[in-house]
Amino acid sequence: MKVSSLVMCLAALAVPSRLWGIEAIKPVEVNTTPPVPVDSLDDNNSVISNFTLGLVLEVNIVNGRAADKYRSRIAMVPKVPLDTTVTGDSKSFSFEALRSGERPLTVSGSDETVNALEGSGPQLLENGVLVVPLPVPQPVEVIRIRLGSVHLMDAITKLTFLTFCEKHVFRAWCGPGPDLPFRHNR
Amino acid sequence: MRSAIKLILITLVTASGSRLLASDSISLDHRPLVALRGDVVHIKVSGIFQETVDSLTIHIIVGRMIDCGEIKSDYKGIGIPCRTNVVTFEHECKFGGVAPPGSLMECSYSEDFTTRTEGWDALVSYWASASRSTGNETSQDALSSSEVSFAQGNPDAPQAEPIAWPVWWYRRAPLSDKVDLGFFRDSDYGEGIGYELFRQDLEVILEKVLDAAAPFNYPMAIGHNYFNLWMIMRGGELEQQCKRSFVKSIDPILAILDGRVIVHQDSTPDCSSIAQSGAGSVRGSAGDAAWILMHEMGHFLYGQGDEYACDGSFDTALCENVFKKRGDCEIQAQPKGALCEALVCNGVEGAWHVHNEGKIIMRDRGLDSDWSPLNRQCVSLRNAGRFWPGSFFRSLSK
Repeated sequence: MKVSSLVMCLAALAVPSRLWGIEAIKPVEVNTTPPVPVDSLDDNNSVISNFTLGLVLEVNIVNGRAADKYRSRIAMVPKVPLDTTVTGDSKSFSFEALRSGERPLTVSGSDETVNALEGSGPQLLENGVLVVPLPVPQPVEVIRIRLGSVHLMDAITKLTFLTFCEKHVFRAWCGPGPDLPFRHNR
Repeated sequence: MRSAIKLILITLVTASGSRLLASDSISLDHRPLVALRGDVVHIKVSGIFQETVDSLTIHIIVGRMIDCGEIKSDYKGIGIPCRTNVVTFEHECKFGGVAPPGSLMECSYSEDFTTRTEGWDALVSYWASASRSTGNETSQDALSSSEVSFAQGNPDAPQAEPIAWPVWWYRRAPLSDKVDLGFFRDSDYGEGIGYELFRQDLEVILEKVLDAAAPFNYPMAIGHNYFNLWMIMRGGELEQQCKRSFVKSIDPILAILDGRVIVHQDSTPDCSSIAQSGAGSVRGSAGDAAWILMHEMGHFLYGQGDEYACDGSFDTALCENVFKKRGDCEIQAQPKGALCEALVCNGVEGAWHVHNEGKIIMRDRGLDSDWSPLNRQCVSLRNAGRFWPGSFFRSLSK
């Protein structure tokens, strides 16, 4: 849509002009250019580059200090900054992705069980569903979950990747190579 | 549109990467923050420069807002907006040498952007550049600001794949570099007019916290450009007091949020997790809801406890302000030349905090309360740590 400069000039004058008590200087001339198409892929790239294929783990937390059930799926997840730190304090969860004895990814998350109820003081909410999006760089066998230094659970994720690779044989994740546990046999 | 506009100091960078004077500044602003189809949105750029600037240009990019999954099939349902049918245009304000160095210059543009997207939701981005004079010549360098994005359209419409509605989004920056706050409409607002009431409450809250003048909004005032602000119309529920839940379909949105705020209407007492990436509730209909938001942010984003009660996190590994032991409090108080004070709960000394004479955000209600030195220290530590929300609770109960 082409917008006339005259209309825009009037619109500019309609906007209040004081900031920090200082009178703003108004333009003596305004011009609006006609619209130019932009390539959608280029435009969206900065957003899409925030995401990658990964593992989403759901864990049932019970009594604040135990995990009794879990399930996992493959989905797009946010990329995590490389300098994500695991503090190891008793208020943080840590999630270690394990593969053949190596640890390609570890991330931490807040424990939210201590709550401040206004006017009533602390409340402990100890049962819930914890969701962990993990941008694992490659298929992993296990996610080791800790709360502080306490080992809560090992979630076995190998089958999730095997199932995914059955349907997505051309994925780099699922291709041939030294990754025998996740290699498709076709 | 409010005349008192927040100040956002953005370091200007020339196209070649060299910096302008430190005292140069540009502020970006748009109103309304939550823009509906049919609204005329006002974009305003204000600048103060130590050298003569001849023109300010607002660069605008508009397209139809869609889920990024529609751009690339692998990304289906990530809940973050992309756009299609994108166009860009510029609105230039020329000052003709009438603005002396140090003066406040202003350039504005107003439009209903959904007219460019045939009534569909629009995703709008804008940034500013300035051209300045060097002697008798005008520099061709583009002195540019950051880019801010927002949506305009019909946020009430149900979506098969829910999309987070950007209110103030630094779209060009990695999500991991920003603190992402999501504001959820609680179902107690109801349907129909309830959507409008929620948007009105949110608009008032965000206008106040983005306004730089008051001390109660210290985290926003020092680092407004740390924050992305999102609105989510469905999927968050404050069930009772601290019990909160979110529906599974918005997991992709929850995954990018550092803070999840359920805005509700009724008189349920507000409650938040004491965490560095957590969730809480804010009574949006309260007259001082902006203060409530900042107080609750003290809990769920900066790990602060109430300083009128005894509900600190009681874990010295976090940056705290409420201590179980007097000795832990004194470690914090002594370098500041302050004293520790007992917090009395049910007639018993239950915890300790650093004494403050003035009104402080975690104790005293009101827009004139401030963040104590220790509160501010915890804000700085979190901001410096690039704490990433590695996990989140979809539901939590006793």
